[in-house]
Amino acid sequence: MVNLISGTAPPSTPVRGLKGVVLIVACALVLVPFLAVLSTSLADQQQITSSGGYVLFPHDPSFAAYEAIFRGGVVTRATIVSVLLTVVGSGLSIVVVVSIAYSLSRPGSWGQRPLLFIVLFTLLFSAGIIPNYLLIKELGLIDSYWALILPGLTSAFQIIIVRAFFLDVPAEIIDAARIDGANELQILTRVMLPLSKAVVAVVGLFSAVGYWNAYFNAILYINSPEKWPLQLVLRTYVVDNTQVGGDLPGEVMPPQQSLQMAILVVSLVPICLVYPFLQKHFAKGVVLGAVKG
Amino acid sequence: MQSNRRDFLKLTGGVSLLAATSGTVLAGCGGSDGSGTAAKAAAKATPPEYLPYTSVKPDLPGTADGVMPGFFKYPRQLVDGYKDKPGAGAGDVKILTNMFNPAPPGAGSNTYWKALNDRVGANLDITMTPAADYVSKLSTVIAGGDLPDILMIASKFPNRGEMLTKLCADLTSHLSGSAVKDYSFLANLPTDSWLPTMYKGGIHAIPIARSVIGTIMFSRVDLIKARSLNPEPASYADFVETAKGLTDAKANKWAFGASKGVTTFIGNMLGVPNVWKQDGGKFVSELEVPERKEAVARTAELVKAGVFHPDALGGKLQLRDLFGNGTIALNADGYAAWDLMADTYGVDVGGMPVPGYDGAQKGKPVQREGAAIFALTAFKKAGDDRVRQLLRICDWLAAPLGTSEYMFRRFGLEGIHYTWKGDKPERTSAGKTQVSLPLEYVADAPHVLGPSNEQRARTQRAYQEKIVPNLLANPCAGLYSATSISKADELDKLINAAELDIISGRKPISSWDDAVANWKKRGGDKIRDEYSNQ
Repeated sequence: MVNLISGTAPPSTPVRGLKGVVLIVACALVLVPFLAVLSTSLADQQQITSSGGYVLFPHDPSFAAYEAIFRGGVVTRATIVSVLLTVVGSGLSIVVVVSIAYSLSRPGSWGQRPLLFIVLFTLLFSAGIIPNYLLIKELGLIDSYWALILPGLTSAFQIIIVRAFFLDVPAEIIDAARIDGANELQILTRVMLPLSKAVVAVVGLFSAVGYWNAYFNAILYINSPEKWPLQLVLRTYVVDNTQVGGDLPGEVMPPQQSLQMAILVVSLVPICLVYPFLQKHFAKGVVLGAVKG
Repeated sequence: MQSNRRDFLKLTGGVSLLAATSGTVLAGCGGSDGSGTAAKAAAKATPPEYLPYTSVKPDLPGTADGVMPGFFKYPRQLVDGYKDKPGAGAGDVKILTNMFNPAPPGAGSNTYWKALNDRVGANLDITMTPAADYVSKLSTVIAGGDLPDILMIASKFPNRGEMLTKLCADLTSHLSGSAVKDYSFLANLPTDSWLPTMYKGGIHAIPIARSVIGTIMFSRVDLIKARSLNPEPASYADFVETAKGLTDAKANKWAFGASKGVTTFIGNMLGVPNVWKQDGGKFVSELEVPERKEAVARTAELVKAGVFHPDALGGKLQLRDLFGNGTIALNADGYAAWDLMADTYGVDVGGMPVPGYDGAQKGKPVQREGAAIFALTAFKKAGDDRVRQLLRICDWLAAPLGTSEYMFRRFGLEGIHYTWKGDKPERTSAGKTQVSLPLEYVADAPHVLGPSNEQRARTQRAYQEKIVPNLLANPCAGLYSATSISKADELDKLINAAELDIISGRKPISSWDDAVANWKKRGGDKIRDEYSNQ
């Protein structure tokens, strides 16, 4: 049969079959590790031991690992902390990045060039741990959630993407708004932002993923364990091979590997829930910013 | 605190701190450390007297040469080490330490923490940092001039000597010689563990002590017996026979899962020095003796003989799991892993004593002493009264098994955090989460065998009695070399890579000499000089 639109014959059955196999293999390459993580989190010590570390199909699924990590509320609290940091941080980040990018995109703004240079400078050089720590300390932010939000509020990379997008908006649209009596804030909020949903989604996603995954600032700036974000708690399980209370002779606890995988699942869930709905903006926004820059 | 920060930046070279963005923090810290002078003076200082705590009687008494005391069960008649609150009047006490357990609930919602503060008589404000990131945190906090009252100094912290002498309190007048009698639980810490706390003629920290038993070649006794093999080989030839007998490639059964422990074990048979030895007043590295080279060659032969797991040389295997499920039958691990593996996997674990290479039971075989400390605990500079308060708090935390202080520290409050199930305390749900404050990394009692299972404690005891006479100390254990810390990663990688090349058959054994020459050039000789000048 010939395709009436393209005029080409559809691929033969073996070719389609081969393509199907390739696609299944590709999907399996992505899904099997996730399955292994999920299954191992539900497996018992005997099965994990006999399989050499990872399990694909648990014989007798148990939620003991999840019960252990959620007991006492440390992981629950850390999850709430991370969600709040991510929401507040990325919300503020959008405001700050868009504001800076807009001002740097308007020709003739005061100090535009030196400010742009300063922004670009941070792309190449960072202050380092100690100066940052001293700054946070002098600002009185040690052991404060703001110490986790403010340092990641903006990045030169995001500003460049948004600025490039704004530069591409036709000057006539802005002139028309100005003739209608709009001030700069109104131009930004009523004209530019509605045109820039994709790039705003990119900034939001970059920031959200950044805030969600961050743990090192918490190590440096946060002293109270109840203020730890989830990723830092995750780190204590995965990197330090933490035993959950099982350090006493004779005390049998959920398998270490199950605990690690369970907390991985917990940390993956929020991003997995949000990402499918935003990923189209993610790719589109980056490409737009890049091409039009 | 400004001067403290400047001091620290000066002695760490400042700039190198800025590079501390990953886990390998401060590896490249430069600057002179003056350790030579430090240790010369330290040699004149008097370590605290060792006064074993005798109010609690173990079932198996420890010995002066290193056999650990053993308990068959948890003592129910507890001794009160303190009649009063050790930190009374201390107010807020800020503590910085590392942790391996998950973070417990904060002080506000943790009944254990509240009870701890009540018992200690002070408000313990504990900042705990995952162990993998502890050096980053410590470096930053110190450079920020934010020294807490009590801080754990990781044993691999660069310029440790300078840090302790310039920024931390001098504890000499409180602890030197018989002065330690005022702190009966600190006096219960073995002398070996105090040596790394001494710099420039003073005592600047308290040790978090570890047993010198060190690494054990664990064996699956059940598997060995099932194959009618010898769990305690009498020579290298016997050892090879046991390893071959345990290997069944078709059934995915192997003797070993990693090469490092095997090389060390064979080296011990040959009498290889424990890192360094003194020869005619000169320090000689273990890498420079022919027996060490021979141990590498023997391991390469064993790899060729096929008694190693096929992925053993990759170094990424979950060795304890493989040991537990019987895929490998011999595995070198720290002494504390004995109970952990026996309880986790429910298998028969044994310790394989080091035989003489050619069967000689005396003289040649050695058992390397392990590090006598996990880390040090230092105090911020303060007046005598404040230092005394802090020392009393640490002394209270170092109370051993059998005291009410120990039971509270490990288990919390009876009925709330634990209940007795027969002779064993069993943690409640609250206990499992709340009693995970990392207090054992502030101060700790010496480790003991048990108390879990009488038969196991006796087996461990029997093993220790066999190996303790062969214990070999590292003569540099009480000395300090800045280069050995700052270049540890680089030099370890160099030797490990050379060893792996030989063991895997990529290079001949003759390449070992080049690696050792390279090691000497890139820091080995400097470490030797630093030790020699002390």
